[in-house]
Amino acid sequence: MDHTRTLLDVLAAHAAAEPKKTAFTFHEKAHCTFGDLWTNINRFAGFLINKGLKPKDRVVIVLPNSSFFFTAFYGAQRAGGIAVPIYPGSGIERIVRLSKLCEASFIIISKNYSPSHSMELKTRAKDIPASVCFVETSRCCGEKIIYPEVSLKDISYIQFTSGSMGNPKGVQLTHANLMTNIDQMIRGMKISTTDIFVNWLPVYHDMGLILMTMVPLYLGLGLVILPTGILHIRNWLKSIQNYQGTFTAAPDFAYRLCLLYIKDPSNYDLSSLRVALNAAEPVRSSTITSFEKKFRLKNVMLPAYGLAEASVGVCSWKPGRKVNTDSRGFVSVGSPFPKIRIKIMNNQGEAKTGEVGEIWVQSKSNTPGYYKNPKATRELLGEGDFIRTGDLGYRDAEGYYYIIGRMKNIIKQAGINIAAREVEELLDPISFVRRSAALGIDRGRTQGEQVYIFLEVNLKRSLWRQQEILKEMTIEAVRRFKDTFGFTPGRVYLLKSRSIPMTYNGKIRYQELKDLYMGGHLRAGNLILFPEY
Amino acid sequence: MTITIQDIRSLVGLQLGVRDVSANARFIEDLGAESVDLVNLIAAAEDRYHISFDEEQIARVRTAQELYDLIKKTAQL
Repeated sequence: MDHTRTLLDVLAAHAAAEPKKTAFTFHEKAHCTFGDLWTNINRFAGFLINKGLKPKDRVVIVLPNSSFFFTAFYGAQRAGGIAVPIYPGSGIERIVRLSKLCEASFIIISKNYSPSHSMELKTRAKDIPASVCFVETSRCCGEKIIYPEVSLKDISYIQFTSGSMGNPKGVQLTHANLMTNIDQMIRGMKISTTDIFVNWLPVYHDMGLILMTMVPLYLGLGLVILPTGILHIRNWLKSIQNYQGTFTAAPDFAYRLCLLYIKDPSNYDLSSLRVALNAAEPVRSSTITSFEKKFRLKNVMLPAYGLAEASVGVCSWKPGRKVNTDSRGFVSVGSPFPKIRIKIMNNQGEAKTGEVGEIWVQSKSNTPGYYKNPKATRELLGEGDFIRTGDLGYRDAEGYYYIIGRMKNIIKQAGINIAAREVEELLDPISFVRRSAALGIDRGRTQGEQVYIFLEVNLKRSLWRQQEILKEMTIEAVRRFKDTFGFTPGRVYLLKSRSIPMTYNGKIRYQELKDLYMGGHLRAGNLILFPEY
Repeated sequence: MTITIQDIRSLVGLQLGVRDVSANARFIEDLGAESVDLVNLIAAAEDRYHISFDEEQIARVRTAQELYDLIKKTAQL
């Protein structure tokens, strides 16, 4: 692997050498060639430059899995800017908030965004100040554009990740970080020119973006991209069959959905699969066993671990080998990718084999820091280029790693990090809510860990039985959550005032709340006003 | 215990954050539900009515009406 080129350079090279070669196929219909991709990237970049984009300006991108996403994502960087992809279903509040956090100059949306919302967004964006542009019509027309030099040490993009104290943190990743991690994952998982990638994951998030699209674009591999979501779960598996996909990835939850919803597994021939990566969420050994049995596969599901702060990939199991499960049922995530070091740390220093501690990672793919957040950056960077992941795990006698849990107050729903505090700040302002608390609860069912919300209500006793008010508050909480995160919480409970256990200095005692709920004590103590289940 | 279609429409609304759920509104296409929303909805129904659904049948539930029919059938009411 050469260490002199950015991914932009590689895309330019593919376009020059093989302009008619397919870069990716979208939705089993349209495909985009390397030539067209590079042309689109340049036109979009030219547009931004003409509109006054300065080097390193942040360009927020609010686009779904689509050809346009790549035009905007790479186009922003080609223009010398920094791309900031965010969840495309974000409500206006969230778009504005994240744009303010990264001081964006541009917000790129699609013409499919509702007209009234676009108007409101344009108005609100003036406060940032940022220009709102439609990707479909943002292109320059053949005039000569001077594209700035982009070097490996420049920041390529910012990945927002939920922080444990309120505001999301912007993980900055350089071109060098990305090229390093691309190389590490290729070598670690033996990805080669015979691999064909089929991707169902969101491309605006690390695993979908870096592993599932940057790697195949870098190598010029077959790449099929599908829209995200449950309507497309069959398409995902059918595409693997039709395109003879060898490599796919998803959180454990998505594989469990296949088990739940696909009743005719014999109609899906997944025998071309070499790797079905399983990461972003705790991997259940039952998922591996059941999925492989149902779809007649052997040693294809590959548990892996990573985090945005290390670009994305840190370690994985060895492809083709039977997965190790420890005596407690935890599935191993294998060994680190080349040139990545992992240390397990506890209060006394480095932990012994078998001892659980915090996972620290050293890699040239590690972020140089969060965007304008020196405090969080200091907390992240341990000593000697190691980052503190906030995850707990251990290394066994053979050198294989196991992820046991999490230190931070982050909830993981369907592979997505959500900070309890971020949820609470969103819900505290609802009328009649005295205080809110968010917990991650996994009741062992298909959906895995879910956000459970507890709202203390400030209602007169006489109103406690007014179902309409209680329902309205619940629906409002669910709606606000959905508008922000894109899916709904597992459950919302309305509690009497002072039901949520607190420390003397005003912090929520999450573990105690969890124990109270799971043990049925909230219900037994008559503290739950709604619902009755 | 009598379960009405109104109860189920209300349950769906609470879980999906929608104020007026009609009996035939499709969870995904009309009410904006996603994969995780559906499994959570099923969990809410199981908790509310103290029943356990056969996985075979869950996959085919697409509206409040269909969920109501399934609950009645499963709870043998």
